[in-house]
Amino acid sequence: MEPMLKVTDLRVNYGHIEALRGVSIEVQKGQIVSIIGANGAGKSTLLRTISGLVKSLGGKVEFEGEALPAKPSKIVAKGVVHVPEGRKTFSGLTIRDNLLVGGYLYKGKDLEKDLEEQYSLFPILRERKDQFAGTLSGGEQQMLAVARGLMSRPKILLLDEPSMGLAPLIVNQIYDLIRQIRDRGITVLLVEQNARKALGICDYAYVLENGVINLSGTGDELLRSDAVRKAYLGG
Amino acid sequence: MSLQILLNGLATGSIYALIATGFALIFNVLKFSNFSHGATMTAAAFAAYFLVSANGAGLAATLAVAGIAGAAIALFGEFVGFRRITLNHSSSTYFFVSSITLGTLYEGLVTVKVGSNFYNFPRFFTNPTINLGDFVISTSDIMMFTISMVALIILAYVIQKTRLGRALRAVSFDRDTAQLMGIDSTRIIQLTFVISGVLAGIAGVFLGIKYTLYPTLGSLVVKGFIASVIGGLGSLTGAVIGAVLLGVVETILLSVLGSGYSTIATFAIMLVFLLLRPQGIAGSNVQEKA
Repeated sequence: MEPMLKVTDLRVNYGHIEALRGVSIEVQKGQIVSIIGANGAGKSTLLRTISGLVKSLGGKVEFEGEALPAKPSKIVAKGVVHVPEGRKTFSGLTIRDNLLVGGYLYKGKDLEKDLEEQYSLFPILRERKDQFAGTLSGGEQQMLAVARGLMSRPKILLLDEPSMGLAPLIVNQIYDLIRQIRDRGITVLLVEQNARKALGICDYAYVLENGVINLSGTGDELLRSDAVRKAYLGG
Repeated sequence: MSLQILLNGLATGSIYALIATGFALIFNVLKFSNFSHGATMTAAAFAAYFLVSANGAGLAATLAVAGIAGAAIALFGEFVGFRRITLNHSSSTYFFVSSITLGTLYEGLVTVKVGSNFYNFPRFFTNPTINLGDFVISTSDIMMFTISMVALIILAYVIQKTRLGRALRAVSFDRDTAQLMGIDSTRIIQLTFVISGVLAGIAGVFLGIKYTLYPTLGSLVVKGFIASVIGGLGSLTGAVIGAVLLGVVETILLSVLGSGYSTIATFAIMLVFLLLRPQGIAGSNVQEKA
């Protein structure tokens, strides 16, 4: 089957540093695909390039068989939605306004319906809807960031380190949510340092090291691989 | 304190509020102090003077042309002076230099056109004063106060309640992330400059009515800077509160101390204020939480 998202030989430089040196991945519709790798391997750069924040030097990003537009704002409109690393919620906006900004491309009754949908998926956000996002805890901010991403009506959601800095219990909640999102028919491309969690949830995974994909396989295959166990799962 | 002084102070303060909010809007979005704001006010006010007022047009036409001219100048400045360095995420020093250069350019152009002469807007009102019981109130003061307040209320509504206003606030917090929501940050920045330019144009005309028009009129922008610092840089509500306070305090000092000492006293009060509350009146709201 033709993949939903296809990245071919993607190359990106930051100044003289080669952040991505020819990365190719495929994401099938309806799946969760994980990319694991150490700090600085280029995981975030990959997502930032797909969502248009970073310009590539070469290679292709195709979504549903077409090249993506250049501007990030146009890419979102295609249904490719990026929830950035470190949540990046708008701290001085209320939770409701954060969500409405997420739904910037949509208007009217549909927007209200989307809002209701997020509130039912994340009840804590409804309780706090009129508070500033900056008052939320880390886990709640991550939920807000995901909910805000869902407001943009993704066909594919790019999640960058959703477990970063969160307590194990909260991480489990976030991962339950990721499963629920996939069950709603939204494809997920998940980038994580937390290899055990990311491999446990995914249908397929890639290992990114120093800007190249060194290994790929199903989550189970990689969990059993010696190389992955030594490097990412603590032996 | 008489009602006249209070009203005069409120009128002055409301002009400062227009300046301060125009200034704070840009500060909010691009995190730099736009030192070309003053010259934008002057240039827009002169444009309105020569294009319409000098030909006998009334107040409404003058304000409209000044607003449009201010918006056009601000858009020009955004494109020539700030677009590239914004996209490059350059340090604020570049914005500082760029805005000073633009300001000097505008002021120079105005000076070439008008020399160092003073110009007077025609009298827009047949009755320069209104008698309210025992009080004599300047008609233009009432007009300036009313129009400023209406403009600020509309602005507050747009920013707080509309889709574009939310986008503007989102871009102010984080330009890149806002783009991930489908917001075209460059367009929103342009919109911000347009709003700021319109406010500058109106403020320029009001200053011209109050103090006559001259090429360095824009230096009064300092009062707007002060107001927005007192209010808490970047906070629009703070800027308005700071501006009205500044206008009233200044007018009272003027009536008590005379024009020489009142200026000194105003600046001294500002310094003391900054010493006591460096974040400004509304500063705590603006601080980013990690």
